[in-house]
Amino acid sequence: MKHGVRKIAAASGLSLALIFGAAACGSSTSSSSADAGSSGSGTGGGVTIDGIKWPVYKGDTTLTVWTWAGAPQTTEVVPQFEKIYPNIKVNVENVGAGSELYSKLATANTAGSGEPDVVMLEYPYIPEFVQSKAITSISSYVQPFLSQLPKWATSAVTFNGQVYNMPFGGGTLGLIYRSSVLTQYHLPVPTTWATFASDAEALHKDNPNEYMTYFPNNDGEYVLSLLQQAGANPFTDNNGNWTIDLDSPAAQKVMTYWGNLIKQGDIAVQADFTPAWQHSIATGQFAAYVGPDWFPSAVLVPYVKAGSESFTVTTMPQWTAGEDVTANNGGSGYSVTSQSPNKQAGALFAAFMDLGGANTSMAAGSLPVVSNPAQFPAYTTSKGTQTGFTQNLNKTYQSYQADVSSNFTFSPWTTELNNDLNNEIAKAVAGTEPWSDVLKNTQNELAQYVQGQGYNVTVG
Amino acid sequence: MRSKARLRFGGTFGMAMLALIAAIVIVPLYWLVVASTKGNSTLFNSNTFVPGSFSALGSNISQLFTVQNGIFGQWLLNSVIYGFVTAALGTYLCTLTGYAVSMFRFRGRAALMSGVLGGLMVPSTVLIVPLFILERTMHLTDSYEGVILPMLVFPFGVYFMSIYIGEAVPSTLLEAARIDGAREFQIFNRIALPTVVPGMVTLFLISFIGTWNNYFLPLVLVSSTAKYPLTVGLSIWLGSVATPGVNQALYPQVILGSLVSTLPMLILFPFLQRYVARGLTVGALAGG
Amino acid sequence: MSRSAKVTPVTLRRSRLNRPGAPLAMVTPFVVLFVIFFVAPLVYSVYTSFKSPLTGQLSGWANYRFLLHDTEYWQGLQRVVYFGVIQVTVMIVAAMALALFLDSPYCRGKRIFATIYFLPYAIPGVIAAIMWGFLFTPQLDSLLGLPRDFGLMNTTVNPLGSKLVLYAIMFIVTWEFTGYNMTIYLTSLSSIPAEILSAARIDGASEWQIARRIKIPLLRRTITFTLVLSIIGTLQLFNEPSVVSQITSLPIGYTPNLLIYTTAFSYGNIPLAAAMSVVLAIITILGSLAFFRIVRSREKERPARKARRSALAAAQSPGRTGAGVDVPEGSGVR
Repeated sequence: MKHGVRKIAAASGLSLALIFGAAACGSSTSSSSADAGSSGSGTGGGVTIDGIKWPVYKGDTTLTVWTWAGAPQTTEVVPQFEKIYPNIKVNVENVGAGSELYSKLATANTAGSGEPDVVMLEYPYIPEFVQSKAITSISSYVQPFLSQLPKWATSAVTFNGQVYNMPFGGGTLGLIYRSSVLTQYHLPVPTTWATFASDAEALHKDNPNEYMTYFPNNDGEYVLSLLQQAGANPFTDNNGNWTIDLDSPAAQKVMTYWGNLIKQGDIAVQADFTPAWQHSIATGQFAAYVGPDWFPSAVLVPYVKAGSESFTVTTMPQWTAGEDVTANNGGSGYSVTSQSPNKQAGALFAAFMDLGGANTSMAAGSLPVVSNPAQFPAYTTSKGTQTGFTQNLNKTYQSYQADVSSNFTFSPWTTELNNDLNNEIAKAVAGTEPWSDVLKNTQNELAQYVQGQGYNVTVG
Repeated sequence: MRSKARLRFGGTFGMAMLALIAAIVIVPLYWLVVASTKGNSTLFNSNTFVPGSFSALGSNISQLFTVQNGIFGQWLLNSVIYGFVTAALGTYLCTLTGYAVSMFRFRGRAALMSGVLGGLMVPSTVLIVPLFILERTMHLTDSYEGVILPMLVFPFGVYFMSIYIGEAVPSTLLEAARIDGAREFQIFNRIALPTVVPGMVTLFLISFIGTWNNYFLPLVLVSSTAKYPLTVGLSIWLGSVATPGVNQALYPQVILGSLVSTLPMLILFPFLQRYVARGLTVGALAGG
Repeated sequence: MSRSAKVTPVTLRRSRLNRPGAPLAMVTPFVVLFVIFFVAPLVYSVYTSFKSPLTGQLSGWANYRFLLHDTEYWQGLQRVVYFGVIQVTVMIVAAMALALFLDSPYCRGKRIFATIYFLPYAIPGVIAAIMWGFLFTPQLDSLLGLPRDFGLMNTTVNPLGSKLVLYAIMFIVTWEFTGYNMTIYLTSLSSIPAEILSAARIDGASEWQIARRIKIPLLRRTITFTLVLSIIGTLQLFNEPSVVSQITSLPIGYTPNLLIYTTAFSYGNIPLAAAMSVVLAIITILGSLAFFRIVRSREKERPARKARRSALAAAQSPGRTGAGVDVPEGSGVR
C-alpha cells in the first residue's frame, strides 16, 4: 500500500511540476508570446467564428482551470477551445462550487502560491478578490470582446476602469408563473408589483395552502437583485473609499413591499435550496417565481412531476407601469489569477467559454451572456424549450438582457452583507423588529465590521 | 431464585429499551436507504418514509458510477487509501506513543502529554491556512501523503491509548520479559501489542471513520478532482445541485453516494467487533 | 496469574530498563510529526492574530480588542456552555447505561446493537444537511406530527424553528456520539478480566451491583477521558450547527467555532479568526484544567474507593482459591 502511495505521489508531483514548472523553464523565442509560462513554437487562433475574431496565440502552454461548470461547457466547449488553440492544453478541475472554491482561492492567495490559471467567480464575489489581489486585470487581452457583452455584464466585471472577469453565465430575472393557477383563481398576470400584491392576497385568501410565491430568509443575493431592479445601488467605490447606502428610498420601497405581504401572511417565507423548499416547489405550493434563466432547469424541471404543471415566463413585475427594468441574480464568469504565468492564454480561455461556447450553451438550454444573440445560429435553430414550458426560453431570457440595470456595484463584503441581511430579515419575520429597520440595521452592522477590519467606509 | 427472576425482568425491560433506542437511532439511516431508492422528482413528491422502486434504485446506482466519467469510483478508492493508510499508521503510532507515555517515566513526558491535550483543545480551523503554506513549501500539496501526514497527528489517539494501555497491560508481564533480557521494542511488539488489540481495533475504527469523513483538510490541500476523497466529491456534487447543466449530479446521486460511503463501516465494524471482546486478553495471559 | 487494574509507573525502576533511551525513541515519530504539522502552524496562527486583516502588517492587540466587544462571539460562548451542560450529561449517562447493559449477560444480539448505535458516527457530514432537512421539516416528516396525534402537543414539532433549533442540534450531536462513547466504554470494559466478574456473580452480586461497584470504578479514567473530550467538543461545536445553518436561518455566530470558520473562510479575515481561536483555546484549556482539578479532588475525597480497589487487587493475588472477592458493605446481597 505504501509503495502504491509513493507511485501516485510521484505521478502527481510530476504533473504538478509540468504545470508550474512551465513557468520556470519557459523561454520564449517568439517575441509576440505575451505569456511567461509559454514556450515552444506552437501557434493557434487566428479564426473568426460567428463573427467573433479569435486572435493568434503563439507558444505552447497549459492552463489549469478551477470551475464548477459541468456539461456541456466542460465536455464540449473546452475541447472546442483546444481545437482552435491546439497549443494551449486545458486541465479542468472541479474543486467545489462557490464558497468551497473561494476558500481554496483565498488560502492559495494568502500562501503566495497554489492558485490555478483561471477561476470561476460569481459576480458578487469578484470585488473581494480584486481587493485581495487574487485576480488580475485582463483589460488588455479582452478589449476586443467587450462589445459582445451586454452593458450590465461589462459593468459587473469592471472595477476602477479595469476588467477583471469575462462573464459566462447570467441570471436575468423574469417572472415564471403557472397559468392554470392564475386562471383558476381569476388572477391577472401581474405586470406591476401592485397587481402582484393584489394577486397574492386574493390567492392566499381563496386557498390558504397556496401562495403566490415564496420569500427566502437565507438568500441575501436574491434580495439584492430585487433592490437592483428598484434602482438601488448600495455600494459606491471611490478608489478604495467605499460609501454604503443601503437604506435608500428605492431599497426601502422593496423591503416595505415584501414586509407587508409577509406580515399579512400572503407570501410564504422559506429558506431556499433546502429540502423543505424543494418539496414546496415540487408539490405546486407556489403560483409564480421571480426566477432567473437558470431557474427552470435547476429548480423546476427535475423536481416537478413530469407533465403535472406548465409554466410561462414573462417580464418581471415593474414598479411603474410601462417600464421595462429587470435585474440579475446569480451567474458567474472566469477570472485570471495574479499568480498565473499564462495571463493572455487564460483571458482567451475566459472569453471563449462565453463567446466561443455560445452556440453550444444555447443548444443545451443554458444562456451565454451576449449582447447580440442573433449572431449565433443556435439562437434561431434551437427550440429552447424545457419540460413544462412551451415558449423558447433562450429567446425570452435573452431579450431581457438589455433591460438589466447596469448601475449596480457589488462590494468586497458580499458574504458579510448576506449574513447581516439574512439576520435582520429573520428578526423582521419573527416580528422582533420592524421591516423598516432591516436595511438600516444591516447597514450599520456591516459598516461596523468592515471599519473594524480597516476599510475606509462612509455610511450615507 | 430471586436473582433469576430479576434477571428475567431486567433482561426483558432492558432489551425493550435497547430496541426502542435502536429504533430511534435508526430512523435517519432508514431514511437514507429509502431515499436512495427514489428518483429526483419522486424524492420530493412522495412520503418520506415510503420506499421507492427498485428500478429507481437501479438507475441511481448506474448513474452514480457513470456520472462525470465515473469519478465516484475514483473518489471511493481515494477514501479507502486515505482511510486505511492513515488509520493503520496512525493507530500503530498512537499505540507506540501511548505505551511509552503510560509505561515509563522519562524527561519531557509531562510536556508531551500537555502538548497532546493542548492539541485537542485548540480549534483547528485556522491551522489549515498555515498548514497549506507549510505544505506548499514542502511541495506536499495536492498529494496523497500531503493529506495523510497531518492526519497522523491524532492527539485523541495518543490520549486514548495512554489510558487504555494503562488499564489493559499488566506490568508484571513486562517485568518478566525484561528479566529475560528482552529489549524494550521487542517487548512492545511481541508482548504488549497483543494485549492491547481491542484498544487498537477501536482506535483503528475511530481513526478510519474520522479520516473517511474528513472534509475540510482534503478540500484545502488537494486541487485535483481525481485525488479528492468521497466527502469532498459528494460536497462538490451537492454544490452543483443548483447549477444547471446536462448530466449534473442531483440529489439522488448525493444520497446514494452517502449511503455507499457508510457501507465500508457497516462491514468493518461487526467484523472487528470480534477483537473487542473480553477473553481475548485473558487468553493471551494464560499460564502466567 | 496476577493483574492489577492500574499500572503505576513508579514500580518500574529506571535501572531495570534494558534501554533507557527506548521510551524517547518510541515517542519521537509522533513528536516530529506533531511539531511539524501542529505546533508550527499553531505558532504561525498566533503570530497572524497580531496582524491587520487589510494591510497584513502587525497591528498589536487590535484584533483582540475588537473581539472583546464582539457580542456575537460571547453570546455564542454562553450558548455552548448551556448546550454542554445539558447535552454532555445526557449523552454520557446514556452511553454508559447502554455500554453496561450491552456488557451484561442480559443482553442478546450485542454485536448487532453495538453496530446500530455506532453507525450514526459513520454517516458522512455531507449528507447530514439533506438528511436532517428531510427529517426536521414537518411537511416532509410525518413522525414530527406524532406528539400532536397523541395529544401531547397542539402543533406539529418544528425542530428548525427558532425556539427548538438549539435542542434540535443537541439531538443531532447526541444521536451522533452516544454510540461512539458507548463503544469506547465497551472497549475498556473488555479489559476487565472475566474472573472478577464471574467471581462476583458466584458471590451473588446482581448485575447492577457489579456495574456500580466494579465496572464503573474501573472505568473512571475512561469516563473522565470521554467527559473531557465531550467538553472540548462542545466548546468547539461546529459541524452540527454548520449543517443546521444550511437548512434554516441561523446566525453565523451561533457557536464560537462557527464564527471562527465564517470569519476565516467566508470573510477572509484570517487574523481575526486566529485571535478568536486563541481565545477559544485558552478558555478550553482553562475549562479542562478546572475539570481535571475537580476530578482529582473527588478522588481524594473517596478513600473508600481506594480501599476497595486494593481489596480487589489483593483478591487477585496468586493463590486465591475461589470465592472471596470483597463485595463492599451495604450491598444487600444475600
